[in-house]
Amino acid sequence: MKNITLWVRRYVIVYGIIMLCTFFMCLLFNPSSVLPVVPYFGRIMVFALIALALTAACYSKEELSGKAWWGRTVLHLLLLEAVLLPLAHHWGFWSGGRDIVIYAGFILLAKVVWHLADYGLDAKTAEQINETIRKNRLENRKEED
Amino acid sequence: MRVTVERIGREREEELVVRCHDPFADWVGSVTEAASGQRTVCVCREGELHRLRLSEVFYFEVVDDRSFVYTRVEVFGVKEKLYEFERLCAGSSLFRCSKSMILNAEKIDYVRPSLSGRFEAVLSNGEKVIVSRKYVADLKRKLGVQEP
Repeated sequence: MKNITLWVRRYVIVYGIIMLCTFFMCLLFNPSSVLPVVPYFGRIMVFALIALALTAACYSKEELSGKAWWGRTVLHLLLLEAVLLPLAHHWGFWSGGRDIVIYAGFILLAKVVWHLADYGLDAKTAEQINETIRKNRLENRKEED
Repeated sequence: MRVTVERIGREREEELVVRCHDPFADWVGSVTEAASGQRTVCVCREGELHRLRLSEVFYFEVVDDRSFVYTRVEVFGVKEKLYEFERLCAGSSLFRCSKSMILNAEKIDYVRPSLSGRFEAVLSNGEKVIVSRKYVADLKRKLGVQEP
């Protein structure tokens, strides 16, 4: 159950990141574009699902060393580009040389945002732990006095 | 034997009362040692056997199938395997922090996240060790981190 919740949460985050990317891509490169709501949202749902499936393919239960982690991260990025770019082209999200660079750049950006979000959560956890360590120390010192 | 564990509020002092037929029985000694953090582990250095209190241990690590205990400045070899040491530490401030290490939560100065999805714990002797994300929940439990 815990695992399902975790993956559902990840799916929502991936979906959110793709929607953010869509907004900025349209804002910067095609501000007057009109999107067909139902097919577009549906395709993004499938898009997010595929992106998540690729994450699962690169996911490891093993404890990875720093190097192995970077290796997997780069592999995951390459997989994302290799699968999502042709799919996006098939759905007409991009066409032409300039578009593919922009689209690939946004996939890279989405991946960076994903890791930054993870890092942010870890930083929050670390702060909670450090705060408790400080509190425990203070209490111990008081008891010793 | 009946075992009763009662959860109390933080405002009350924790205590252990042992009601037994023989106050000198082995199990009574083990329980009181554990409760007072005086559990010990046999360690070896240069052919000499030493006895270390668990509260002195910074961390336990397995490297190339050999086990070591690290204190503030010293390193000792031990015969225990990781799972045996883990069992010995049950209920103490030591916890599994990665696939090859057991760390004493009381010796952590602070932790910081790393980009590779792990945490780095800086110990009170300045050493840095890795805490896997998988075991961070255990660390939080050991320290009594209150979720907001």
